[in-house]
Amino acid sequence: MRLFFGSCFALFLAAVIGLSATWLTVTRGVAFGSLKIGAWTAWPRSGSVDIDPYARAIIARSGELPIGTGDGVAFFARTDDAGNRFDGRCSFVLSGMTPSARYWTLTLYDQNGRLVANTIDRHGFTSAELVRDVGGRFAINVGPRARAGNWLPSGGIENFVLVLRLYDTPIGVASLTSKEGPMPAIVRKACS
Amino acid sequence: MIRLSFWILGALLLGGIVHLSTVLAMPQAATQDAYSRLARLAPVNRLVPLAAPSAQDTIMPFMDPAFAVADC
Repeated sequence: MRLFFGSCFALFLAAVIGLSATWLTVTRGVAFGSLKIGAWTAWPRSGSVDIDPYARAIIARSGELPIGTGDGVAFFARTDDAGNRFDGRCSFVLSGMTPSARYWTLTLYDQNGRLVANTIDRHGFTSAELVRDVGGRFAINVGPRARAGNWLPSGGIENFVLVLRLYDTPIGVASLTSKEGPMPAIVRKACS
Repeated sequence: MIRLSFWILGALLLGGIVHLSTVLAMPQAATQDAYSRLARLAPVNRLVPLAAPSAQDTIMPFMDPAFAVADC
């Protein structure tokens, strides 16, 4: 009788431990082989065959389609450089340079990867349509209110995610060092 | 007391096995991953342009709106 209760207890505990560990790793986004540059994080191996099982499970759950390694690499940012979470009520400024790439896009999503509704139907910028200064540098204002220059409306949602996709770039393909690219800096400005 | 700690140790080991096997099984068990979302939209061996993502509706999360996507 004692053996029966003991094994029931152990099996139940094992199921709880195992399933909750899986749930935590899949929802928190624990994946190996990430490439961090400033506030930006990429998982270059997610688009190749040597993807690790955790990243595979996360992608299977979210239903997204990662960029293939030969095509490019996607950098995700959820905070600014100081670690403040992106808040739709604050304005943020992205400025600087991007690593060498044939083409890049910057897109704003909500936490679940959906685009954010706004009146001018703008969800991101591409490297081709950006307004730059004479030195080739750029600044993008991300915020709820319209700004001159490159304004990316955040729609005032609580948390948003910025994704910088570099197409046809050497970053992340050859090696996994973070010294490679000058990624744009993200600074928080005024909050309303 | 020692008996109980043996049970807990066994449960921890078994929980680790459960964790690893569920992580490995997830891609096969998933019904909402990108492949099955696309398989519903397109017949076999035909190229179908996908609707561009909008704020109301997106086929997959984190689609790039700057690109037109087709699926075969």
